[in-house]
Amino acid sequence: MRPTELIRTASFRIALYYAALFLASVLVIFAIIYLATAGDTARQLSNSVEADLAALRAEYHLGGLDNVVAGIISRLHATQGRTAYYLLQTADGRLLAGNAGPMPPKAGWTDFLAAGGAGPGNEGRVMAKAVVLPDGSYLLVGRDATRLDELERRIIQAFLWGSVATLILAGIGAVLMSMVSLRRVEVITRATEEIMAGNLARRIPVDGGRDEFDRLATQVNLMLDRIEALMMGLKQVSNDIAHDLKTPMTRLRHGLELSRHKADSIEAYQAAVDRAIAECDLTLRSFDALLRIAQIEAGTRRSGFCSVDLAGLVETILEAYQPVAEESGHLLTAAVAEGTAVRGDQDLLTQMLANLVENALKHTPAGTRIAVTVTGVDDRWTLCVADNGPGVAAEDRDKLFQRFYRTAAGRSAPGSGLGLSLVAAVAQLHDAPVQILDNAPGMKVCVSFARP
Amino acid sequence: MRILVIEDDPDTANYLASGLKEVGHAVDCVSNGNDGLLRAGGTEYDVIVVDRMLPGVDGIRVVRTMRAAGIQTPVLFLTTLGGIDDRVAGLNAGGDDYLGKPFAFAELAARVAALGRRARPGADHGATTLRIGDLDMDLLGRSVRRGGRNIDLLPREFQILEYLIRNAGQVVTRTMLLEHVWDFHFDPQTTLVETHMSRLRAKVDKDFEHPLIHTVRGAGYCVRAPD
Repeated sequence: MRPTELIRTASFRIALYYAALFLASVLVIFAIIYLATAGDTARQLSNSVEADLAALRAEYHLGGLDNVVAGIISRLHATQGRTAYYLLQTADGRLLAGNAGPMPPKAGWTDFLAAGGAGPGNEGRVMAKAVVLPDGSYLLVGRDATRLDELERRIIQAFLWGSVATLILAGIGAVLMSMVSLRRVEVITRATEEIMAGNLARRIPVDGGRDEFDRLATQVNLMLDRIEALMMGLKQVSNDIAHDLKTPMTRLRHGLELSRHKADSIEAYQAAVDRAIAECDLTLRSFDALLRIAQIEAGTRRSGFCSVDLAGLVETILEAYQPVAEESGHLLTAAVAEGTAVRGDQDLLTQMLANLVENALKHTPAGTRIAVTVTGVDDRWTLCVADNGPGVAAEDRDKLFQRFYRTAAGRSAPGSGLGLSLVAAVAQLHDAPVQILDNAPGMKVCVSFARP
Repeated sequence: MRILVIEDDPDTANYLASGLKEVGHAVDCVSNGNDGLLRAGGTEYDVIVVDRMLPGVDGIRVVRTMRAAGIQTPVLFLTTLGGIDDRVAGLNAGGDDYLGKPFAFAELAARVAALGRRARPGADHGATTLRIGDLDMDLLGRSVRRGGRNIDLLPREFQILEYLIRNAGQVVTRTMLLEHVWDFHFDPQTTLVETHMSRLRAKVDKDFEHPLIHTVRGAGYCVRAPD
């Protein structure tokens, strides 16, 4: 971790903002403390000066300058000349009484330094107020402000130390926070680099602290899961397509080669050509189904959705497949609720139901019952095609929706292995979850539509 | 019949032209939409076969322009593989039928024949009874009699027979039946049509000397009066 990297992090910047904020609050706190303590002391001092000055002026009005001199002497005696200062001088500058040195007469508040303020040898500030009396003499009353100044000095010092400590702590906090976040970011970076390098199974580690990094990591991991599934699906599909189309092509080639060598009559050649055409048709059918599924998955058909009556759909399919079921010895029945309208694509839903019924007809032996039902639960209509045939092993059930997937038992039956993939695609287009359930015995495929 | 084929792929065009000529039609081929429009405007055709995907002006626009110009010649669209939206788009543009590529030639020939027949005046569109050989169909009373005997048909069987008789003398393919009788626009993997047909034949033909419904190998079915 380079220092420049630390400084560039968002958490460092945020920590700095916080440091500024803390500094401002320290300033506010000290301002309040200052006003409450030093401000109050200053106010008391000035009040005492004003009161003393007013008293001395009253004495002047009662008994003239002599009275004032007596007042000053008795006051100096009482305070022993340590905390209070007085000055009375005549208009021509002659000192009459007091412990402060002569000074130019200036009415109002004034500050001066006096020796031996708070302690011996110390020069302390004196806060004083003066008036010019009617006869031109000058009266000044002062108080020692050393303690006030000391208080102010301490408060400012404390403020400075506090600010320095705040800044240092904030700086340390900023560095620590950025180190923590940098470390987390580096973990994520390493993981994504590995994923980019081709290790699609790699995930971003989650601390379990449920903080924002964990939430982000969890989301990214979910996205990675989805991407991996899509990639695997794509790979699977292209493998399956290659494999499934290679098989009929190989058969076609062998058949043609064989007849090229063996056929010895026009009829034999014609038969060979017919077989080749049939083989081509099968392959084309697979292509057609694949492209159809891809188009359905693209979702463009959604714009053409209208109200479709599931009951009517079931009736049409049942009527169409009843004779087929009878021929193959199956018992095809339906039980449908009332008013089963959903929003959807009539053609695709028809094909979906036809595929489900055909699937049941193809993969169950004679004597199997196949029941098509539409039931209403809560705000959904569930369309089910159930049979009591041999069923499908639990581990195979989810794979049935994969393109070209065929169970070991189902491989012998005619078909492309795309029927249920198309069912899944149509269901997905309609936002209708589709499930393969155990009908014990047999299999049950249910598609659940939201009521409009 | 005189047929115009608008198809840009020379192999497909050749395949169509030679096949249609062989079954006795006169065929003109053009390879793009503009030429197609010019030909269709200048010559009286019985059926026009249009590829949906054409360079320049595409098939949909060709047909739309033709219909806007008042040319009512029946049109058969050839669509690409797996095109589930193409049927609606083609029919909305004014097409009369569609066929996905690749197709069996017998299928195309049957559909072209059906389109040509439908457009000819004097066809039995408004008729309330149909007759073929000794079989009478009452479309209003929904009853069928053959040789003086009543034949009980299920509603769907009645529809199949009606469709076959309306196209009497011509081949009706499996997919044509699926589309017109059931409104199914996909290819069932089971013997759906065959099973219904065998039940219909059992009722219509079994007890009679001369069968009316014939199987045309590799193509479909045909209803013909006995000679």
